Amino acid sequence: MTPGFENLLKGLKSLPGLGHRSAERIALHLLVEKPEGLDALIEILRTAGTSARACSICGNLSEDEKCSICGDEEREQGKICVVERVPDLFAIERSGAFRGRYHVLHGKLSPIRGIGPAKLNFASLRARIEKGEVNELILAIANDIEGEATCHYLSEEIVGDRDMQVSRIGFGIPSGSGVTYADEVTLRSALDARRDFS
Amino acid sequence: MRLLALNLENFRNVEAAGLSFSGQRTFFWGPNGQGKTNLLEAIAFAGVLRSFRFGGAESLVMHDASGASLFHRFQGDDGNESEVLLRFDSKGAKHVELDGERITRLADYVGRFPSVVLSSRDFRLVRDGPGERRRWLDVTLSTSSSAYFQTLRNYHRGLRERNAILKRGGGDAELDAFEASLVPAAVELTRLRREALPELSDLLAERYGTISSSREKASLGYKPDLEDADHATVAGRYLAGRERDRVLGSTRRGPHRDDFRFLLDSRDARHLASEGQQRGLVLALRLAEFSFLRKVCGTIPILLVDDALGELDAERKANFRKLLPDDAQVFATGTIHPAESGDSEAWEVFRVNAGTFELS
Ligand SMILES: [Zn+2]
Repeated sequence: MTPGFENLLKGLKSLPGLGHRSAERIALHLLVEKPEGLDALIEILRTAGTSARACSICGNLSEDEKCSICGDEEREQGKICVVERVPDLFAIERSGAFRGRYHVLHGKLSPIRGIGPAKLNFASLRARIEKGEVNELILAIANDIEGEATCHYLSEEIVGDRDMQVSRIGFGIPSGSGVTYADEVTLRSALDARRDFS
Repeated sequence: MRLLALNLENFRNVEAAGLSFSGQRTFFWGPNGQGKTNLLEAIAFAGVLRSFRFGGAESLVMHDASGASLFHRFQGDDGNESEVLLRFDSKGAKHVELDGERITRLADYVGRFPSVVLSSRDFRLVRDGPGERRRWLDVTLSTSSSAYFQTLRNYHRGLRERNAILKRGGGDAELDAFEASLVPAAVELTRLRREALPELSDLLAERYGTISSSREKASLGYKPDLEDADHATVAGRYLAGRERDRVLGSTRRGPHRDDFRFLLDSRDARHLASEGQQRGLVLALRLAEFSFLRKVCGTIPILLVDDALGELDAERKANFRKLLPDDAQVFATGTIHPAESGDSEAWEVFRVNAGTFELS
């Protein structure tokens, strides 16, 4: 193994979902089997890296400081749907059942994976709430143990005593599974049938 | 329920084997260490998707192979056939298919193909610490109810997360968040165990009565770690234990420390019973498990008898045979051919040698 190859392997293995074998396959593909595609891929990554980022308000994928949803004046201001990840936001958008704003946590609490409150996008949600922008939170978070705990933390630590409506979707979403994999009809009814959470 | 066929690939010491079974009684015969128990383990895997072996499931995959697979063809009591495919990798990760469809929610699967294992090492259930008894209770109740399975999983997942917080020195807000779902799971788990144990205890008393010639009454006594099972008290226990648990880096109290006792006339059998009484008790427990699963799963479980008769004399063997339910399919192992040991049952016998099987 060369140092360059080893470095690449290390970099690839740090990506989510890539084990040693897949990382090795990709590294070999990039460097040895199809090296002609490498420059194009580097360019794509560079462009994406400079043009795309997390929205400073909600954490959604964005090309600007503010994402297209946060910048859309037509959407309901005070209603925020809290999701774990950007694909969950996409899934709810596709269902067309929600016309408020979002907040992306970029994960859920899981001490065993080293994810404590400081690693999640709570601070900017707290800031939004403290500004008085928010009057309703809809928690669209998986109903497994880690999801439950995350909802509990949100309602106790972030919302606290503030007078605000907090509800949780859940109806129809199979226990233990997330928002992204629910189909549109299920998501729509899950949003309609949200329950008070406190 | 009957097992019609079993295929194994790179499973423990079996590189490749395909077996089909024609009768209700199958015997795996051969010297020790040749793979007889591996076969029983493979059959039981279709039931609870875990090994029944004491000490876990290391080296399920044959040395140097990248993965193992098992294929079962079952026939239900109604005559319908179903096929189960299981794949393992060296880490034990599992892929489960039922009739060609991937199973993603294991709670929907457990309990469909129940089996009961009788092993010569079962006496450890009486003599050893609470770990093996809890494991037996959890496997039996998980097989019998997907609600139990789900609750148990939630409890252990919550417990692992709570322990991770304790080890990392995380704050009270984080503990609050996880205890909020840990506590209901703890309460429910205790409730389900409290509900099921008397039924298992009654079945055990009945079976023990037929096995043992003596008059004493056998029973099971639940020893929950948290006696007061209401939500507020249990929540208070976890809260009060935080300081101690932080020092230990783990959760000291809770249903993960539950136990139950074998009792003979209300006396603890672990210390006060003879070896014969203890063997009788675990045999009665397995037969109670069989009746319990038969009732709640709505199908006749398969009986797997792992060298359980090895140490019994001819008379006790004959008594034991009488206890085997006629309508259950039985797979047994032994080092002596059943014909030579004067067994009158019509066994279909496979000779087991270094991971290969031959109808004899
Ligand atoms: Zn935004």
